[in-house]
Amino acid sequence: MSVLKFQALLIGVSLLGLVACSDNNGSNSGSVDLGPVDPVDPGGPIDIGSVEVSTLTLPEGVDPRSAAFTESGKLVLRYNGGALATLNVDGSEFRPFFAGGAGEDDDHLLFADGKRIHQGTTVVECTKVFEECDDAKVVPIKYPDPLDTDPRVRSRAQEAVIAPDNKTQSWMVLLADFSTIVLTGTLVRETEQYVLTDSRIISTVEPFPADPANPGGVISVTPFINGEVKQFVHGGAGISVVGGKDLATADSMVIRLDTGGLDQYTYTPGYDETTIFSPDEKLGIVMTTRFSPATDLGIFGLMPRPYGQSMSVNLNRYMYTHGVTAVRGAREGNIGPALIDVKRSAEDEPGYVGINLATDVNWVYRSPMEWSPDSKMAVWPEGSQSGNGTRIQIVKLPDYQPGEPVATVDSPVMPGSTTDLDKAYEYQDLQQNIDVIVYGKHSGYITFSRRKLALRGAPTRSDTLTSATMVTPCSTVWKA
Amino acid sequence: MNANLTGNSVYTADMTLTGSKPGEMKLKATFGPLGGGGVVPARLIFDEDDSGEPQTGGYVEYNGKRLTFEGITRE
Repeated sequence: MSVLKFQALLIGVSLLGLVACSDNNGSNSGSVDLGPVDPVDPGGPIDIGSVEVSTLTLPEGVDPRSAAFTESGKLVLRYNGGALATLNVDGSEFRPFFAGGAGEDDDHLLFADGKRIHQGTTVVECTKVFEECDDAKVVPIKYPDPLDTDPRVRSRAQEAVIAPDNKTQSWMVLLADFSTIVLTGTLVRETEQYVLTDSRIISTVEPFPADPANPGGVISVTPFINGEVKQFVHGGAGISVVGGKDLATADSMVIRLDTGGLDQYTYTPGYDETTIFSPDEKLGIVMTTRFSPATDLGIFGLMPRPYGQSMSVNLNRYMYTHGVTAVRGAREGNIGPALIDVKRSAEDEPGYVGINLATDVNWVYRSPMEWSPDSKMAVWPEGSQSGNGTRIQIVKLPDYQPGEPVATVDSPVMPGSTTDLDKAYEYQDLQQNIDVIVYGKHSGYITFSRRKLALRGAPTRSDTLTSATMVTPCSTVWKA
Repeated sequence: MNANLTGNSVYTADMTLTGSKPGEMKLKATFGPLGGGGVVPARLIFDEDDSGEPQTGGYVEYNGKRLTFEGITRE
């Protein structure tokens, strides 16, 4: 087991002025223009009222994996290794409609037509709505070349979500070196399969274009768009994703398919994942380490730093496994989920953290979470720390007065996206070997380098080795 | 950041921020190996190194808040 020699990471930041260099490690200063925060839809403050969390009652012998609401307000339950059933939220009228073969993936996304379930690489189809379904079958999805079976792809559909228009899909591809890209495409039903057409990369694939004002320098693209997609929002015009913009650590973001922009919805310094929005988009549920002081590593994210996403030093992997993976094992803590007022969270109201929906330290949140059509209930699985399987939790908001669900639109083609899917591999090559200089607006510069060693061919997790360094000298002024 | 999934990974920051929201980030964090196909969760190492220096310590101050490693699990 090797121990790397210590390598200093020096970062200097100055938002509005100069930095007094504190030691003789080299002068280090700079600043960053964090840019305007995009407007958030008006609304709130919201009176959520009482919050009631309970556990779904299930028949004996039913081992649940996940649940989601139908349009009629019933639940579709995935259980016992891929069987499907509908039931009421009080546990009554348990009605199996598919015996098995639906898979064990996290993906469990109901089409808005109420007859199909998107589960990553396949679709479960019924000719009638789930409550009446008696002919469910599994239909495969053909993913686009060259991002289907290429050996440079580790997972062709790491996450996949379907839009309210019943045809637009977004998904993330995990490449061999664990870098990721995000795509959208149109799902077309053919005789024996679904095929993704008009596939295009919507994540940033050229993060460091040349800086015409500074020969030899590059521009660090902001916002840097990437991350695990979880839900179409804004009626299909946006995608809720884990990523970041103003902070260097993980937060909830929304990719704007209509503008190409990126909106930030959480600001805690620790690890926040994707917010799942209620149909009226006034409330959200988010997996988070914010309520768990022993496992939350917000110390890394409290202070913003320039280009914290595009010039990443890969801290999120450590924050995630410290505060999420470990807690799903034996480490004491919780990962929420948090129930949030979307507006208060998106505006970074001082001290606002929402409501912790975790009720028992021995049971830990698992994905996915889903809202009811009336925005007054949500469900999510929890796994037992002591080997007692999985349970389905329900939060009910009996006092909450929801707004109208956001109207559905045809998901737009995102400005700046590309149908050149080979860009994915150019991006992967770049991620393995970065050595750039970003010049300040007025003076100075940041150098950023990242080396991934032993990564040619088909790397495994165990041989991944990364070194990332940012250095900026004194007197760098990014924004006067 | 030097990241090594089979060995120790070290992150250090030495930053001073001026302006309307001043701050300082002066810390070092040493994580043990993730190993085992990445399934071993990150664990911070608080022990002293061979020269007697703590392998994890320091603080961040920003916008009136201060965070340290106090209270972070040692398990």
